[in-house]
Amino acid sequence: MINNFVEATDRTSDLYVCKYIQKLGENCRDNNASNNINNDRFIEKRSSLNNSSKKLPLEELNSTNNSINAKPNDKNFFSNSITSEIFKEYPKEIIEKEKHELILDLKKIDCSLGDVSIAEQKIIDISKKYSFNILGEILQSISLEYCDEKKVLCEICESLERFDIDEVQPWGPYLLLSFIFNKDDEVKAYGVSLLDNWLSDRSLLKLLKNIDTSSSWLKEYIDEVIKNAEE
Amino acid sequence: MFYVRKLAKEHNKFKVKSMQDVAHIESDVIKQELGTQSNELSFWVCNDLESINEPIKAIILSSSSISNTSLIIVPSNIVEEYCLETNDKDGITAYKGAEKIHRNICNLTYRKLEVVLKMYKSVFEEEKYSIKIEKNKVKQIINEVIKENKLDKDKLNKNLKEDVEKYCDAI
Repeated sequence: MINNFVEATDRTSDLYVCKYIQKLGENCRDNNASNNINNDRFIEKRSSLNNSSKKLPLEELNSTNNSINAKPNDKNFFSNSITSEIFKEYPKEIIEKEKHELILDLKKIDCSLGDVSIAEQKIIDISKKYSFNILGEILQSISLEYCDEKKVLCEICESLERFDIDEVQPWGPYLLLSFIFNKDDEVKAYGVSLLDNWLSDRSLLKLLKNIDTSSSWLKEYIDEVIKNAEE
Repeated sequence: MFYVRKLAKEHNKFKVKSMQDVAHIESDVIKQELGTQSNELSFWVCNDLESINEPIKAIILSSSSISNTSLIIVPSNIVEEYCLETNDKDGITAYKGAEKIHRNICNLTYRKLEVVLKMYKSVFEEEKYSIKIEKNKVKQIINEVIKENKLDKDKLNKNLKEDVEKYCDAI
């Protein structure tokens, strides 16, 4: 029934969103997720959107600069009001979708030199498009699931260095723990680098003194960071 | 003269220092620290350590984010000692006027990269030739450049521009 419903309707942005949510639902079912999207809720949502006089161009919905908190005067307000409305309705599905895409990006081999990686750009975009809390939820979930994948963890560490500690509270320091106490020394080193960027919060200094490693280079690195912080 | 370059990761310095023979360094360190473009490695120069702020500003404003910045400083006599070729092509930075203090170590080959790594190792033995600029200091430096009206907004990396707008004075 859902497929017929989708085909019969005009290609408007609210339809695009419904197709998008349908796809999320399919992905969730494929992944044995516990949340399935109810067809009746789809139709109900479609009717309520139809009643709205706000029809949006497709490209507005795909705008990566959407902010959930846009004001009516903001040119993206109409696309934001629908995006945020849909997000309120299906937050878990949307977060799952963003997480899935980020995982794929984190696993890619990035050949770009000097500039930000695809995954880092995705992380920046998630923080802007949704919120730091949503970003934290996604990153904590990925770090747990991929706790034995060095590349994934190191990329996350590197991407987070650009943010201030205040922005990533309260989840940032807890995520940091998973890096600096990882068994892999490379992941630990990336964690130390991230911690070093967040040392405006001096309480994190204690963590540095508790990192265990047998690598001489990592010990020397940690000692240097501690020495600089204490000076 | 001194050649200054940003380190991709501070911990790589300790990896290089710990190697008896740099030939055994992990290939990721080579990729991260010695990733060439057109067989060239980019540096920024100053005549003496008193004017080190100039290359530092050039480097900070050619980056893609505001974060801790670790630098290696190589005296020119060491570059010559290792028989490395250089050129003076203009660099890209949002620090106005700094294009002319850019140098490349050029015509690099697989063998010469090993030489560069040996040079790095010898330089790292001297503490004064590797420095770290902390994130808050990086913000201060950017604010100084803005105040001096020396920020070329058009040359700012897209992500750095957003960080500057978020964390620094109005541009």
